[in-house]
Amino acid sequence: MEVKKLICVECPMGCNVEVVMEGSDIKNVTGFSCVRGKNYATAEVVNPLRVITTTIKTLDGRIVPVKTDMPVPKKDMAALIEKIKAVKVDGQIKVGQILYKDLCIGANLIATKNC
Amino acid sequence: MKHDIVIIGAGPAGLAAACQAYDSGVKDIVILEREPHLGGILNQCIHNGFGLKRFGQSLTGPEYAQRYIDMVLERGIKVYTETTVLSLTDNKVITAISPTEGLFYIEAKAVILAMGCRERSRGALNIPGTRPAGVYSAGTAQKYVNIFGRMPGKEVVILGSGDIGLIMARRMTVEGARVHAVAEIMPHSSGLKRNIVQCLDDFDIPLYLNHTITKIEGKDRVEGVVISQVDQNKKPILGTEKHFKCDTVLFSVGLIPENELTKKAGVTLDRATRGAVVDQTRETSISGVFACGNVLQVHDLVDYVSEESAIAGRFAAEYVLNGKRDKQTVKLSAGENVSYVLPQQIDKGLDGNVKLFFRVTKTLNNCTIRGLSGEKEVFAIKKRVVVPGEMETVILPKEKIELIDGGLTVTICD
Repeated sequence: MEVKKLICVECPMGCNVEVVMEGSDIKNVTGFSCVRGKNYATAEVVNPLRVITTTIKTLDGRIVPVKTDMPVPKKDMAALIEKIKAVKVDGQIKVGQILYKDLCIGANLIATKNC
Repeated sequence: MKHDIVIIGAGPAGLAAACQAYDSGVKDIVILEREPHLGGILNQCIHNGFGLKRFGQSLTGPEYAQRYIDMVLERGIKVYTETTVLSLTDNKVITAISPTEGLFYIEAKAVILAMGCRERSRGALNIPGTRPAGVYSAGTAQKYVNIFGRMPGKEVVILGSGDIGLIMARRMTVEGARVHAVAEIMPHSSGLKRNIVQCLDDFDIPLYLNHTITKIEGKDRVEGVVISQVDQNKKPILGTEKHFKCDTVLFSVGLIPENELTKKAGVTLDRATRGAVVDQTRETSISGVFACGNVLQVHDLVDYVSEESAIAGRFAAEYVLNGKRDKQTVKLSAGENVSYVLPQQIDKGLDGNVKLFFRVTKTLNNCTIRGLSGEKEVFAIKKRVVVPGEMETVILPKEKIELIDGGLTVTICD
């Protein structure tokens, strides 16, 4: 049995969550205050996920803040950031607008500001 | 000109106060904003994690701002952008200046102060060394990267582990810079735990606790820094120096409420919060002048700013509609291990619960928060852990408020 100690990053509370593992099986999760914390800890020991937030430039040079509309694998972050930086956008952009479909595992890249 | 409510600042505090004041029955509201856009500092906070309490989902700063901007515009509330307020008098006359209006005056029935805060600078820390280019406050660097799309440098050392510093460590890394170290003079980070994990640990950026910058090198441009370990009195320990080659230094060493207008108007300030002294309605020592958000106390979360600002908005509207209240105020004060309590006064004549906000001076485990009125214990609440980086709250029900005689001191002990 192995106990993995994590700090949940889902919200600013930062709960100390403990996951009891037996090999690659999760035996027990404790210390979370909501279901988000439980899901985070479960994912974190198997396949850690993060939402990526960054900016891209429109063809005419405006800066658009963007995010993935769901968490994506942490291990792919560097490659995904490169992919995001290469996305070309133009014209009026609305908050929530999809700028790139299915970046990975079904996550889209969306604008977070009217630009 | 004359208006019922004038709000200074269109950041999250000003926007939330405006909406709530409007919904409480006052329609003649104007917001004065120094920048060309609404939303304040949220516009440059492109990371997520905002709004979990207020909207039940994780939004980025611009998304959170947009929700409130839409609410303000839907209500037809008048906004003057690029408008700087030069002064406020104790009889609520505001002098402002803008490119379209020139210099103008507004007589207000009620004023809501929502100017936010600014960052502490290198000058406030007395760090020795030369004065080269490449030294920025973390928030300035954030504006360069996220609003203008320009990188302040490539090799970075950050002083201070406040949230903006941690967020910028990640942000600079994502944009291709190398962050060599984050130095924190305290034995603990002043940032949120989640930011240590996802901004530093995720990118293998080392955090040096009990360390500070003791030298900045370079004549025209930063060429390197020296960081040293500090002792219990925060004095650098000789022989612990570490040298880093870098071209950029970011400071994330705290925020100061921007209260120049408040001070000049004659509003009483609290030495600990550096904001106005208020009662639970967020009314200051000048009748009809209210304050909310980071200009009143530096909050951890924008969600709390919105919550607090709605209180100020509601009571500013009541002030306009019903006039001045007779108050029966009792004083609140910070006791053992507590750095401040807000509100600093409670008007016992008002109905409803009062939420107390306070910060602790050190980390304590399995502790008890007590409210004492003289010898009498008004409340006692057990807590598993409290840390200085995170604001604590206690809800004081009306029946407990009735028990307060003279004043209330909030303490926290093992």
